[in-house]
Amino acid sequence: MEVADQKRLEPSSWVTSFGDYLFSYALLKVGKREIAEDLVQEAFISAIKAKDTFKGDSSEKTWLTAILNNKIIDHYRKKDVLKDSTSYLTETEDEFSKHYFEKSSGHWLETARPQLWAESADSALNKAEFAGVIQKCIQRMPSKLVPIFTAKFLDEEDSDTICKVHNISSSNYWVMIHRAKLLIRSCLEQNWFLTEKVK
Amino acid sequence: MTYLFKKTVFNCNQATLLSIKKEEGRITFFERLKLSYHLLYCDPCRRFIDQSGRINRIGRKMGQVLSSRPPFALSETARASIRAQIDQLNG
Repeated sequence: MEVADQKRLEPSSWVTSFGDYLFSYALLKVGKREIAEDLVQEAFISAIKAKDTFKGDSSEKTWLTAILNNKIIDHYRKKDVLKDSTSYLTETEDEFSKHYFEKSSGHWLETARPQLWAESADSALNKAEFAGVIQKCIQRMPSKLVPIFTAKFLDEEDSDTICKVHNISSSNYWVMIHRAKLLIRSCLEQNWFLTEKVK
Repeated sequence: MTYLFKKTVFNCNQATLLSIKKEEGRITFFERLKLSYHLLYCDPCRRFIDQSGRINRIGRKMGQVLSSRPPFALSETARASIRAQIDQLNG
């Protein structure tokens, strides 16, 4: 019975069952409500057109998420966000690092050193406002870092896949994830882990 | 000499980059040695690595949070327009 249920798609219930989930996923990845809504809509349309390709190997939700994710990748490709990544990373290296590390020694600046976080990841995740803070921190990143970081962070894709999908070199990948991690760590620290919300 | 090595050859900027590669199992033997040595005396980098791990965990669990209680909601207009389109296509 479960198998039969899995194989049947029910587009009429998609908006109710998965609408807000897919929208939240898209919003974390693209940052703008209107774009996220358009992408969710496009994903549903493609899904209906591709209904026959659904084999029931994965859940309806997983299948829809994969279709949406392809729309998001296309969106970034059309905008060509990742073009000239190498020169971008080289040109911005000093400007970026100076917010975190001393120029001469490469050691942490006094002001940028990681502080003690009083709350665990799981406890933060249980609080309703936390996702909003994550979203804000992702959107503060330079636009080139966002598609790469979110693919690793939300989809846990491995570096080879991400490099291939977004057409970047592996050395650029490491620099981008390194920068994204420094940025999101300090943003979460300032806007969550050291604030009153934790208590 | 050791002092120079600590101060200039290998530093927190590089150590945190290597720690990111290590998270994904993409670190060479010598990089691993350099990193371990650095971490012997660098508390801030150890803390960075711990917090980076927490951030990864947040990402891993985020999908579950998004499904069980989506933090953001489609606007009513978008919801209505998407519904209408699905109904039309779905016949």
